Amino acid sequence: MDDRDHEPVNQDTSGEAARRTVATGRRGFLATVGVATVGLTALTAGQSVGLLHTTNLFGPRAQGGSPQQLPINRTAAAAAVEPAATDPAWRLHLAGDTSLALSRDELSSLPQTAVTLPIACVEGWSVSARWVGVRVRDLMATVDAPVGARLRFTSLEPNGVYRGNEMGPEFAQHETTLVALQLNGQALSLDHGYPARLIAPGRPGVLQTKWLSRVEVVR
Amino acid sequence: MKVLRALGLAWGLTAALGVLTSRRALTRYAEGLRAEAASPAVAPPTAGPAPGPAVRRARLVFGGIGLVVLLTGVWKVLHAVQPASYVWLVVWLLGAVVLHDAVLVPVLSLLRAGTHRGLPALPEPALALVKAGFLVGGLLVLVVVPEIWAQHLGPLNTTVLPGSYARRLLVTLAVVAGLTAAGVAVVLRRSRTSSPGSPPT
Repeated sequence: MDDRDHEPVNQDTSGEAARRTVATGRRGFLATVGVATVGLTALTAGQSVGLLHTTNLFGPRAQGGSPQQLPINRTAAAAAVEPAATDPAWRLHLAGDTSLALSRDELSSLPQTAVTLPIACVEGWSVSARWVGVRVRDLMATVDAPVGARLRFTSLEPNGVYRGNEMGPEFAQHETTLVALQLNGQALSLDHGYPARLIAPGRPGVLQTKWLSRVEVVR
Repeated sequence: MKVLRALGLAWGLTAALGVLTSRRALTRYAEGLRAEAASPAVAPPTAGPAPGPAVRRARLVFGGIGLVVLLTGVWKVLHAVQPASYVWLVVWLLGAVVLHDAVLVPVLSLLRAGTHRGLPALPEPALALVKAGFLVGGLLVLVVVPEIWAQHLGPLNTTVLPGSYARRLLVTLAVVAGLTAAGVAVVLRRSRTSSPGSPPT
């Protein structure tokens, strides 16, 4: 981008014009930078802005084409959860003042809520999806968790930095924070967190814990 | 690994001091070059009037803030990166310099040498278009080539890097080249039909 060189031009015959330089003027420079910025944005932003998905030629992720129309970062195989997640003996353990263990069928028989929330990854992609599941605040009310409680979510993952995470009551009590069982009209696939995963608004994708095993009040 | 952290901090401190002390010399050197290019026959540039105490104080304050920010950055990086990965941090930092000096600059120099004769003969708007085309294309290559490389290494799963980026890059570069050529053609035709001989503006 070395636009400020001063090379004489031989094209002109008049004496003063012979010293004309080929340096890019301010307007030319700004226009070029503008075109490059707008162009690159248009060709990559579709990985996080749904409206631009048709021009997403170079974004590392795509809005469509993924299993259940949602990209995946960590697969069930990578997380080594497959046996535990498909075990019929799986239960979601809830711990407040009392405790409870619910099977997937029992979770499905509770009142279901549908929300549209994105997985917004810190890597830069963001894809919206339709989730159906049980409100976390309703679930935790069944085990007498205090309304202002801070909650800890733990995954079946045997290890990994994000196998567990905590959320404050501002998220836990929100009406769109769910233990999700369905994604875009189908049961969660194994790679998307079957049997149950967390989905909450306004949090990065790594904190939307998949393959939930336990939700408890932080004491 | 505390030793490594201390070494890193010492390196950051040295770099900061280097920036602070060499900035002035570099500025003066650049000014000298500029003056020489503008009027090579004129006497060497004279130093401007010495800065007043207020200016000096302001410079000290800004310099101090810069130093604190720089050191905080180094300290934070050394905490964010595991000590075992410090080597990769250095490789990453030096890699940018090596890539710039060993790859980018030679390629651009060759490009410039190759186009040195033909391009300046173009009218200025056409030349600006050609430069813009090269810049846009170059940026595109810088963005997409790492993706192609990562794809070659093998993505973690099928939803990562799902596109055929190499093909898309070639097509997009062809489109950029085509648009640039079309723009140049329009400019050339205009400059030929309007007053020939006078420099177009």
